[in-house]
Amino acid sequence: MPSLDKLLGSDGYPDRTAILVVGPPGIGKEALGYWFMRSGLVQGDYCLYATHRPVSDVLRDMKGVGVAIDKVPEWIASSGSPVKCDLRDPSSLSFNIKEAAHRNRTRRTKVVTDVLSPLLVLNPLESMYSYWSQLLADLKQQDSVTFALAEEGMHPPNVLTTMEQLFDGVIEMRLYEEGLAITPLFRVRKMLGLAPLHGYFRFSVSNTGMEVLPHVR
Amino acid sequence: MSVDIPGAINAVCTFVVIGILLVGIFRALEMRRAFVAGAYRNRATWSALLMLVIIPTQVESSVNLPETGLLSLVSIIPFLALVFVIFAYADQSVLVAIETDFFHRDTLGWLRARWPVAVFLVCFLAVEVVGAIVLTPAEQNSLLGDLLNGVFFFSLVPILGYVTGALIVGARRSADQTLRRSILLLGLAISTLVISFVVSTPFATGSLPYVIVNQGTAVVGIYLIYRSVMALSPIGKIEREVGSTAPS
Repeated sequence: MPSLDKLLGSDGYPDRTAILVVGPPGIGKEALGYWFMRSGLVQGDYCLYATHRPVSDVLRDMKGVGVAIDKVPEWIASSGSPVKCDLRDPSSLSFNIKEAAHRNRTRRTKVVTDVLSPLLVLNPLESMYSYWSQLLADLKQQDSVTFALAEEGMHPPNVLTTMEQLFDGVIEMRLYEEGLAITPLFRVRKMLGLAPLHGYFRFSVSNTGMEVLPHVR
Repeated sequence: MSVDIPGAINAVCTFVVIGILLVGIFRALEMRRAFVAGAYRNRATWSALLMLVIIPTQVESSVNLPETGLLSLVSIIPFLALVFVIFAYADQSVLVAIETDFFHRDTLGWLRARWPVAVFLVCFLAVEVVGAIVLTPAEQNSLLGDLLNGVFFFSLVPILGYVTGALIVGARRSADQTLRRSILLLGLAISTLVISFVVSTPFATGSLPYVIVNQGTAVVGIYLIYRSVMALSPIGKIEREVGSTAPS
């Protein structure tokens, strides 16, 4: 995603970081995660996709947003994967993610997960804060970038604000109104090692990737 | 000088309703363009289509068209298209609500009832259209014509009531809070159509109470459809103090 890499600096997402993508359902958070994972697979990185959905659903979704993958990531999913994602057992989930990453510690690792919001709904904030703090710290011990997707509107505002503190980068995607028109815009709220990026960026998802351009009113 | 109060109310409400519909269609299409996920794009498209088919019914209600003969199709077809689109959109919404329910419960037996109801509606829509083409005005005004119309409308009310119930119950069971609100508002919007049919029945067409009930429910219902579209995603306002500058 050259346009996004340019926005974030020459090398894209900084190494050993955890990025949180926040936005309402349907806006394209998953698409951003798919493109992130695809770029890792193309570069030969070890990629892990941890999802509360079945593998078939994710693959269908990827096809729908034009992400074609030749190589397959390792899956932790509710069905269709050797390792199951059970939201009622967060400890096993965390163990499986860390174990898979540790097995591949000699390679650059990319982890994409959409389990943050369901876990926050099913568990108290205090326990989830420690849980994610531990998981992200362990993943950052090795050369990895973790990409977590969070649903806006599914949690009270204080929950996401609290969780944002655990992440090195926060990307916000949402719809904005300009008169009668409605525009999907993107904001980098924070990113480790980068000066704050002021302003809004237009984004569009197509078969060739995700295009991000400064939004000029 | 006498003022035609029902006519004036009709004209003002039609103007307001068409304004809401045009803004709603534009915004629904904007949202369709903005969404990446298919489920949300579909809902935005269906909402735009629903609002689009409401426009001819509103315009038609303000124009005096013949109630029988081939020209009556001009007034019948928009209404039949509206019924068909309401049912198709509601069906899609209830299925999405069932899919997003943690327990995938069959809302009010919708999975079993949807096909029989669809066949019933299609048959009656066909009878209405064929009747308008084949029957002479005299035949349409006969007891048989009245009977067919009566059966259609008295069947339509329970069907729309059932659709409303399925939407409201399905929305309450959906785990997706955004879809929940949007489906709930759609259910409430369709309920205004049912209320309009039931409450306006005792009044003579064109009378003041009839116009108040009809147009009042139309304004409320269409505003609810508009809110249902806008509930598809939280919409922010761009902060003025932040410049829109590219990173150096």
